[in-house]
Amino acid sequence: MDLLLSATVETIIMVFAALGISTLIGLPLGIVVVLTATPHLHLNKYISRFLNWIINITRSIPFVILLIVLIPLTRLITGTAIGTTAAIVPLSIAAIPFVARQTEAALKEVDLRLIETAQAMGATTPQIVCNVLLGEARTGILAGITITAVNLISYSAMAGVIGGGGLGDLAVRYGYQRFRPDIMAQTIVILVLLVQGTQLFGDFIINRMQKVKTGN
Amino acid sequence: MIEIRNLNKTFFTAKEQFQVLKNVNLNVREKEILGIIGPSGAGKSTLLRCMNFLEKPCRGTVRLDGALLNHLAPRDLRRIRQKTGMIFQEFNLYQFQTAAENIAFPLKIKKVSRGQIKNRVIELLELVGIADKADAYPAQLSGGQKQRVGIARALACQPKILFCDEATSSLDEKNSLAILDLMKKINRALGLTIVLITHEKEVVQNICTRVVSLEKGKLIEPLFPLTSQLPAEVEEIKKEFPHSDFLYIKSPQEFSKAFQIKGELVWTNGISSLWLIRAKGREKVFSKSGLELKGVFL
Repeated sequence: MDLLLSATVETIIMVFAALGISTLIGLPLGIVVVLTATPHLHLNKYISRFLNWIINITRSIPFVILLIVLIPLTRLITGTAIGTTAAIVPLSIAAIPFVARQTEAALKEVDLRLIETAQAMGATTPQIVCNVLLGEARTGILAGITITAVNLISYSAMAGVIGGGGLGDLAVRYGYQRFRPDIMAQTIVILVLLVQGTQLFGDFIINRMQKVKTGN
Repeated sequence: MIEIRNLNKTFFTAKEQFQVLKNVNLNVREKEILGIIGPSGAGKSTLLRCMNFLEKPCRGTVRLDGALLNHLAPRDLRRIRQKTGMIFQEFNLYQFQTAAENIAFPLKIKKVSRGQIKNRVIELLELVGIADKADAYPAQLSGGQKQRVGIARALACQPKILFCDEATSSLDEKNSLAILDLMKKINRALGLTIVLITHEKEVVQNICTRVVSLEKGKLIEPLFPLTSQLPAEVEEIKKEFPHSDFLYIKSPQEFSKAFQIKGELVWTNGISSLWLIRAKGREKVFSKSGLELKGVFL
């Protein structure tokens, strides 16, 4: 039971930390991609192409491989290559381009006319980003963050490879290697609950926001 | 108020280029309600957007309230834009902001203090007649109410000029008339200059004090205000040419040069080539050939 509890806590820590870091970096990245790809804002084909290129490359590396490739970087940042803290580095890096893509997709849904309207009022780009882009795309961005969180829960299971701990690690080491189907079953139940809980929580907030838009 | 000189705008696509505005010259006078009419695709919207540089012209200059927009730094251009208001066909309200928040947005941009914003928003909601809808979201408002929010938002920073981009085109007749009345009211009460573009003749007849027509990127200026009552004789001539839609002339200078007529051109039926000329206090109707029409003296 203690094992299960500490593994759950580890998973939650990994997911939360990675989600926070990837949002902090991925969200602005997505914003820059949109700003540099939109005429009338800060159209710059070179920057947007360069960022797209980086995002695509990072996204095409399977997470298990990224985990190993990033070991030197992880060691540089956290001072160690193993453990829960160490796992946060590759998890965040895998999630950054994902968040950026989700943000980009959400922001592109914002009607260009709404941006033009703000420009006609004399708004600066930061004002447009904060009030118009982020404001009007809030449900899309939250949906993106929810999906990222769900993905991170599943990715975190692989963190066991570098001794990251967490539920996935527990399931492999105890459930599979030590033939403890009960632990395997328990971890699966908790993982399912975590994913469902995250998704439901995200949907709940999004639905409440969406009500404003549809007027019901 | 606004001086537009030799304005040209060409849009470039990968394959072709399309000249939307051809040498447009236009003065917008203070406190007038100027209508720009024309079929869709004539460049009306582009012309309107050139007036606050949302669209940058390829050639030509725009002066807004004395300031030459062409060479302004982005910061100064934003400051000028804060002195203008704009309303749109699709209202362009922010969906996740209440009516009050929408109206407060331009004030927030201008960094007006919160207390002042609050008072101003209440004032504006009352001006446009939706004081009870302050906390409603756009989705909960009718089209007419949405446009009222749009107008209140456009007036928030006490602009000198209001740009209207087909502001009543997506409203039904009743709401459309109500919005036009509101525009008339603010024009008079606030001394606001209004430039509106529309493809609806009714709008022009209802509120414009002057009308210009844009066709295929060229500006054609009528000399007779469409809202004024035409002299009975002219009305009769008009009846003979029921298919002439707008009263305009291509170029008065060209006309008088070609036909060596000295005098002021007051009316033309445009399409079917009749002109009403005022000279030395008398008015005469001419046909395109330059010949005086017999028996028609006004």
